[in-house]
Amino acid sequence: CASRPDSVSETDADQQLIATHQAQLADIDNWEFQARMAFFNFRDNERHSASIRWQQAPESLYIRISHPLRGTLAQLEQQPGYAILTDDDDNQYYARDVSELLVQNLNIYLPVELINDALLGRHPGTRLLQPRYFEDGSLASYQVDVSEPGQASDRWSVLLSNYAAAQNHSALVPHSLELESSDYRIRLNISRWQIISPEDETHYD
Amino acid sequence: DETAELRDRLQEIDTLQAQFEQRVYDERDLLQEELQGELTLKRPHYLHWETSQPDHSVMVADGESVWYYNSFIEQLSIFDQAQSLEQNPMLVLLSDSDEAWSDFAVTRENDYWIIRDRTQGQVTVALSVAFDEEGLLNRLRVDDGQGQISVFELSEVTLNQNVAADKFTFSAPEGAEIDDQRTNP
Repeated sequence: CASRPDSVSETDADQQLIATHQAQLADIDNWEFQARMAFFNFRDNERHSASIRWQQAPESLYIRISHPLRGTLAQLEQQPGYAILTDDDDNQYYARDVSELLVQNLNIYLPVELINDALLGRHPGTRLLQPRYFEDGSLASYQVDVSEPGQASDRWSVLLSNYAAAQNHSALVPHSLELESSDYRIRLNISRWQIISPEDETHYD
Repeated sequence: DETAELRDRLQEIDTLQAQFEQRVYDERDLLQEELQGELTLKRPHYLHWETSQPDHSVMVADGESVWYYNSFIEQLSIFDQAQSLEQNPMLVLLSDSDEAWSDFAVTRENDYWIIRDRTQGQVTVALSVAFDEEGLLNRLRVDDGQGQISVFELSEVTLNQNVAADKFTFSAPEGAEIDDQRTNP
């Protein structure tokens, strides 16, 4: 696959460029993308490929997993306090949030918060380990441990690349991502990025 | 009767080869994906469906099994052809037995013949087919019943040409993961 441009460690990177880019990403809370997803489950020795539409809004999250020929495979919707999984036969399953839905119904453990930040190339809330940056200050790679205090370590490595502007926003966002832990690998090739900025939101209401 | 009329038209097809452009629309009628590739169909059992963009994938139906290779995850999945209509709704175009067609309801809308599977659960997938003025199959449409609609525009359509037998066999590339889901592999 395409070779990755060079990246430098945090100490060698231009702090001003990093801060500028992260500031651009900080207030983005309403966005959507369409991607090809490869999902490797090392625990069960399974791998799946699908198309995914990920729609994040200030108060809700909607994910549609589909296949170009087989159609919709699953829809996940999260609202304040609950989440619903609808399968390809319109059966519905409920839980408190998407992470819990995935655990209960698909036996899959995914740090949705981490993924949400990684998708934008944004610094996650938790401590970054060994971050590296591209020349323009965008985040190239990092590791992070998302386990709760007292729990077994759950370390993820995140690789980001192919930064480009979204269709209607100046911020550079990654169009290729790879997230890997000891149990899973998720690869995303994003074909369509859309960011709804606050002015657009008020325009919507 | 629409079913009989459609089957008569399909009866004229022994083999069909075409390029396709697929556009996938979501429930808001927004274009989500664009794919390209080529298909070869030989009734009553055989289908070769190869997508070249955005990733390379190949689906081959050989009458008994459906072989689906996806380069994005370097995996070959194998299914029983009898149970894999959901893998590719196009497989219904191959069937020519009364028993197979008894599972489908056919209606007409504008220039589309709409084929709906009566046996499915709460969600009904609808495959629609359209023919050009010369009676050539030129457009397909799949409505998955949950908001996703795929439209396939066919071009360079050739009918009833000789097709090499190996078009409908498939061997996995070196290093591919094998995911054999057949009841008796």
